[in-house]
Amino acid sequence: MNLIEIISIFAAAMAVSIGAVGPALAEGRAVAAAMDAIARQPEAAGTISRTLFVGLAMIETTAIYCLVIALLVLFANPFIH
Amino acid sequence: MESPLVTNVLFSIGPVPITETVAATWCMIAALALAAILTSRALKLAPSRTQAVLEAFVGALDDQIRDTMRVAPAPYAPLLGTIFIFIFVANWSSLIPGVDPPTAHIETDAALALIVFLAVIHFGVRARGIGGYLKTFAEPSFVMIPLNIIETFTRIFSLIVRLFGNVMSGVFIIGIVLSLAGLLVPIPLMALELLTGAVQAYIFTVLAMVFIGGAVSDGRSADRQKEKKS
Amino acid sequence: MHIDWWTLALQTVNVLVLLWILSRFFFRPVMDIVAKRQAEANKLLSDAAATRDQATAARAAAEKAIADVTADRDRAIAEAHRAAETEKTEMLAQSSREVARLHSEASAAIARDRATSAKAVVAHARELSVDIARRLLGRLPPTVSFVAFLDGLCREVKALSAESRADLAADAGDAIEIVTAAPLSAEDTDRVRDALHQALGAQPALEFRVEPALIAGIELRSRGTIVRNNWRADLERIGEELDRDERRA
Repeated sequence: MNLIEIISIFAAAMAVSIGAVGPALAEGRAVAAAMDAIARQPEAAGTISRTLFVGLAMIETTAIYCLVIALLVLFANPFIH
Repeated sequence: MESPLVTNVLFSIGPVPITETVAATWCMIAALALAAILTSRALKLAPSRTQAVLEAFVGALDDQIRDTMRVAPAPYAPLLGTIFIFIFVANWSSLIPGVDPPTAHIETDAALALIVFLAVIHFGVRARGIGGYLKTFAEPSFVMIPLNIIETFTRIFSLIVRLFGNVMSGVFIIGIVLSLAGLLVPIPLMALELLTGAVQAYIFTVLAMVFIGGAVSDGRSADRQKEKKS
Repeated sequence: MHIDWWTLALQTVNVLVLLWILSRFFFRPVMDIVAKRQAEANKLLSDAAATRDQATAARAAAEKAIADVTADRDRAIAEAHRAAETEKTEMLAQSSREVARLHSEASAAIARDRATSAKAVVAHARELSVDIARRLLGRLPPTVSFVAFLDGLCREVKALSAESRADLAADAGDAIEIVTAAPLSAEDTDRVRDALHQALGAQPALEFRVEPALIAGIELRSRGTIVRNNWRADLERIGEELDRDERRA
C-alpha cells in the first residue's frame, strides 16, 4: 500500500465525516423548525411534513455529494493505476 | 469489494455493448407500456378504482405544474410525468432481487438530465423565440451572462449527481450491510431507500419543472416564484 | 471515473421511447377522458340550468296567466256590479216614476170622479128643484102667479138704464116679444100691455108667445135686451151659483 492510497482513504474518511457534520446540523434545525410549526398549526401538519421531507432530501444532497467524492476517491482514483 | 461505479456488460449487438442497466430499463419500459396500454383500454367515463387513482395522479401533476410554472400544464405534463414515473419505478426496482436500479448508474441519470436540458431549450425557444430565449441569459443584467451560462450547466450537473448519489449510495450501503449481516438488518435501510427514491423522483421532477418554467414564463413571474419559494 | 457513452445514448433513447409510449397510451387517454367527463358534467349542468330556466319561464307564464284570469274576473265582477247597480237605480227610478204616475192618475181619477159626482148631484138638485117648483106652481092659480111676475118685470124694466128703455121704446119696427109659460087670457094680455106701456112710457108693439119651459113667469125679449123674470132663469142662476160653490170647494 503506497502513500497515495493511504492519503486517498484518509481523504475519503475526511470528506464523509466533515460532509456529514453540516447537513446533520442543518437537518436538526429544519426538523426543529418543522416540529415548532406543527405544534403551532397541527392542521397544517401534512403540508409541513411533506415540505420537510423535500427539504431534508435537498439538505442531504450535500452529504451525498461528499459521499460521491469519497467513493470516487476510493474506487475511481485517477492517480492510482 | 466491487465498485458501485462500474457497469457490467451483458452482451453486445454488433459494436453496441448492452449493459445490465439498459436491459433492466428495457424490461421496465416493457412493463410500463403493457400497464399503460391495458389501463388505457379500460378507461371509462365512470371510473373504476384504478382509473380514479390514475386520474388523481394526472390531476395532481397538473396542479403541481400549474402551481410551479403558472402556465397551462397540457404541453409539459407528459414529459414531466414520464420523468417522475421513470425515476420512481427505477428507484423502486431495487425491490426485485438481483436488479440494480438503473438510476444507480450515472449514465441513466445523465440521460434524464440531458433530456431536461434539451427540453428547457426547446420549450424556452418555443415560448419566446431564439432571441427571446437567449435574452433570458442577460437577466437581470448583462454582467450575469457568464454566471447564467455556468448555472445552466451546473444545475444540470447537480441534478445528475443528486439523483445518482442518493440512489447509488443507498444501493452501496445496503450492499455493505448485507455483506456484514444478511438477515433482517438491511430492512430499515431498504425502507429508507424506498422513501429516498420516491422523494428524489419528486425532487427531480419539481426541479425540472422549475427549470422549464423559468425558461417559459417571463422574468417577473419567475422572480415572484423565487420569492415564494424562499 | 468511467462513463459508458453507449449506455448514455441507449438510456436517452429508452427514456424518449418511454416518454412516447406513456404520452400516447397513458397521459393523452387519461386527459381525454377527464376532459370528456368535464364536458359531460358541464353539459349536464348547462342542461340542468336550461331546464331550470325553462321551468322558471313556464312558472312565470303560468303566474302571468293566473294574474290575467284574476284581473279578468275582477273586471267582470266589477262590471256586473256596476251593471246591477245601474239596473237597480233605473228600476228604482222607473218604479218611483210609475208610482208617481199611478198616484197622479189615481188622484186625477179621484178628482174626476168627485167632479162628476158633484156635477151629477148639482144636475139632480136642479132637476129636483125644477120639479119642486113646478109642483108648487101647479097648486097656485095661474093668474096669481102671473100678476106677481108682471109686477117684477115692470120693476125690472123700470130699473133698466134710460138708454135701454129708450131703445126698447123706440124699437117700433120689430115687436117686443113677451114670452110666458102658459097662454095668457085676453085680460091678462091687456094688463101686460098696460103695465109695460106704463113702465116704458111708450107704446111699442107687443107679440105674445108661449114657452112651457119657463115654468112660471114672464120674459121680455127685444132685439137688444132680454128682461127675465121667470123661474127657469132663477133656477139657472141658482144652478150656476151651486156650480161656482162646488168649484170653489
